[in-house]
Amino acid sequence: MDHDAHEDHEDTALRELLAAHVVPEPSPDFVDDTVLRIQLDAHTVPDPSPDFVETVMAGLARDGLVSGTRPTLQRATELGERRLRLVPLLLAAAVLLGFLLPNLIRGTGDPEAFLDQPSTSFAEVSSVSFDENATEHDLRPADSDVVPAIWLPSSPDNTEHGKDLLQQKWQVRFK
Amino acid sequence: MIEIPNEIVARARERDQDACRRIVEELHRPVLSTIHRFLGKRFVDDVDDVAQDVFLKVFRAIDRFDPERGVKFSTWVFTFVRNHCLDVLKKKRLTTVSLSSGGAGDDETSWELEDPSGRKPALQALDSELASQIETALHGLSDDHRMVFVLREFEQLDLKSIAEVMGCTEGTVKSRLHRAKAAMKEKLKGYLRT
Repeated sequence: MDHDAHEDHEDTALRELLAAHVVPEPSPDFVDDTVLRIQLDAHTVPDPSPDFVETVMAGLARDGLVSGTRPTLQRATELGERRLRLVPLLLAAAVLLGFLLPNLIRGTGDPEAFLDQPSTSFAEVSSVSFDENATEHDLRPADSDVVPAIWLPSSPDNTEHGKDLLQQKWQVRFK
Repeated sequence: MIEIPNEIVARARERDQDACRRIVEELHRPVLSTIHRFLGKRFVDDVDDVAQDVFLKVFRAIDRFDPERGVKFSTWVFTFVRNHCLDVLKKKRLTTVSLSSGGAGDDETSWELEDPSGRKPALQALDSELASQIETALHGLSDDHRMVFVLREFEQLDLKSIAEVMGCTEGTVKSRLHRAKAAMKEKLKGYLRT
């Protein structure tokens, strides 16, 4: 009993002491500011009703601003029709490829195999008299700085006339 | 303890401006003082914002308040005060840890340091030795003990209401209150006249 009385007395003393712990007065605008924030927070835009678009379109139709019913949206072309259009395109591409394929193969053939073939062109050229001991200095005029270029005829004329012409060309070129 | 009539709450639920104002007017003092005492002078500049955030949360959730449960509206509001204050403290502690670990300024220390040349007006209310001692003693309590003590000793809520706010039994409230009082008496024994 004495213990309880002592504790009550202490509690009373503590409460008196706590009265010294005062808090600042609220700012004068606190209530107004808070109510304003609550109103702004509650000010939300409602969602449109589910039948909003239908209602508007019905109104426009009634006023004669639109006519007819709204067409159902469809694909620009049906899938089957698009498939049919693809068939002739594929056939045309196959024909074109068949036509071009031999040329393409020839153009991209193995270069080693091509070089190993006996060259008739080189054989004909070798028949032309040519001084194998001549140096570049002998072939090129002293006052010329032209570097001799290797020139190979693409399709040599194997007739006598052709050989003469070829020889004349060589003589003119290295004179 | 202030009681808000159910009809006012019902009108506030319908976004009645006068009802909303009445609720804020009635409850802003106890809400502000509880926040002030619970968070302490470290948050003296944030108290108004914290209180406004509490009221915003209350009015956002007001449709969920059910008077049939037998809980007073003011008690229900104090559950928001408690939860929001705990959130604020949690955020502050996380910030303090990250700043301290970075070594770029000790936020905790800067709050505790007093600057006599530049005291803020809000701090002047606490500018007494006893008030400072009470403040220090309060913040020596754990969050749960401090909230129970503030609600009981400063706001005079009954034990049942405090139990509602804290989400615990009345027995737990009694136990926490007893320990909190004992700790406060111990820390303030130099000032107690027994």
